[in-house]
Amino acid sequence: MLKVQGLNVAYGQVKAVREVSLQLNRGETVALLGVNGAGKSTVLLALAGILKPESGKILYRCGDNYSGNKGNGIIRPRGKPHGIPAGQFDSTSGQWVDITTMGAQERVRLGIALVPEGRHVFPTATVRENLLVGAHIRGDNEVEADVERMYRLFPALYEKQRIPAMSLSGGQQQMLAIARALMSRPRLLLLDEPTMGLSPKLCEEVYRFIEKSSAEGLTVLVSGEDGRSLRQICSRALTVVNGALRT
Amino acid sequence: MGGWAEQLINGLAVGAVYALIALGYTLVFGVLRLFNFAHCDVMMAGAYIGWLCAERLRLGLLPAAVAAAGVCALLGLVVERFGYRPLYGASGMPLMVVALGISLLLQYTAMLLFGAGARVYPFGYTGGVVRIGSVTLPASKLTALLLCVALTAGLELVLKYTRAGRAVRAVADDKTAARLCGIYENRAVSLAFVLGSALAGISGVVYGSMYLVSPLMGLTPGLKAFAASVIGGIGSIPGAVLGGLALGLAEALAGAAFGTATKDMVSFVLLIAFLLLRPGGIMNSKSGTGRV
Repeated sequence: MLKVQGLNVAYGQVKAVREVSLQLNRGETVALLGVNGAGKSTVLLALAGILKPESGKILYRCGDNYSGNKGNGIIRPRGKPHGIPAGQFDSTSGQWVDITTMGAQERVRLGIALVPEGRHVFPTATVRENLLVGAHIRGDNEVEADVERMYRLFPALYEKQRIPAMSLSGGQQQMLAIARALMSRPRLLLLDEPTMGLSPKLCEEVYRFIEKSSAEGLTVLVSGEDGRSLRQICSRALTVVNGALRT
Repeated sequence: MGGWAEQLINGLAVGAVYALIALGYTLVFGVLRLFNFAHCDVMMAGAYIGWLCAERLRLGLLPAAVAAAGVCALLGLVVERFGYRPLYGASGMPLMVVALGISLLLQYTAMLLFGAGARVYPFGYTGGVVRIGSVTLPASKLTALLLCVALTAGLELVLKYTRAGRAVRAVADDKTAARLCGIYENRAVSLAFVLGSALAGISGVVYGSMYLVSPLMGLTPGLKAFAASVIGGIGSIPGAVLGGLALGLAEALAGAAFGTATKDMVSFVLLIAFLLLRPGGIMNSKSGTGRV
């Protein structure tokens, strides 16, 4: 579903990612391991369209949506991403699309969602409003049903639905960030250090969620330092060392 | 007693106009972290549109306010699209210089079109007087208050319950997270300008009907509204309203107690006091509720 070829990303003169090539197949869960500062987050930010690569290619094939959603699961987002012919934008299309130069907004519309490191919830918006903003690209009438689904998936969010996100604990904010990303009904979910700073119990909850999503057919790329736990729940693991993938 | 009640309502009415202008400052500051100093001149443009509707077209207050809101919304959109957008990503200073440039452009365009002299709305345009017990009040003041309440409530509804409004708040909160949710930042910024400028247009009609209309009329209420948004808590919608009303009230009471010459002084003394003692303003709460 995703092919990355010779990806290079730099912050000014500092090269953070060098010649990274990887492939993700539909429905698999892959761990991106490495120590702090290795370049994991940079890879994910480049895949999500937040950082522009210096060189390299990112190819993406939409395919069908994963089966974990209610209904047929296929969402036609509001607005067509710029520069993509109509046929390729169709979510059932099997063609590879070069998304290297696309912005983050277009990539979300293609089904790529990132849960960034540090959660980045909207602090002054309530839990419910955060979820609704997560569904910003959607024009269907199943948004409310999906909000309820998120409350069932993360019951703590239901109890705090009218509270500003800044008042949540770190763990609850992480749940909210994941739930917000799921509200766009992604086909590929990128999770950047989702267990950072969480208690062991909450880490378990996040791992259980990843396993469950994987079983439902969602493609997941998750970064982290805890190699032992991530290897247990992922079908394979890639290791980043000094910005390059270790073979 | 009646005199003080009148002063109170007068103060609240002027404060309501400050609040409406301050809402525009707050909306734009929320998404761009920029004080749009051209905003008060958009309000001046609204006052002229209202005057044209009232004097030349003989339209009532409501159609004049709608026309001013529409024209000013369009003006705000043009200012954002061609004045500020080319400079996004630049530091604050170029944006500030552009803001001042647009302000001058609007002032002198108005001077070219309408002359430097003041214009007056038709006598009794916003109605005559209203008697509540022993208190006699001009209807224009009550209109200003009612409009402030209705428009603030309307703005809150738009920002809370519409998809586009939530996008504006999301961009104000966290631009990166907003992009990750598929929100186009430029559209959210444009909407903030449109909403703020529409409010400025309506406040221009209200202010113009209470005082005089002239090319430089925006300067004083614009500075007071700036003070109001700082006093209320910059970036906060309830803060902008609270700051505006508090400032109007303080001015009226100071004017009644110490003479009208002290009115302007009170506003800026309050601004300096807040900047020194509580720079976050009245609504500087940790919850951040109500921020754009």
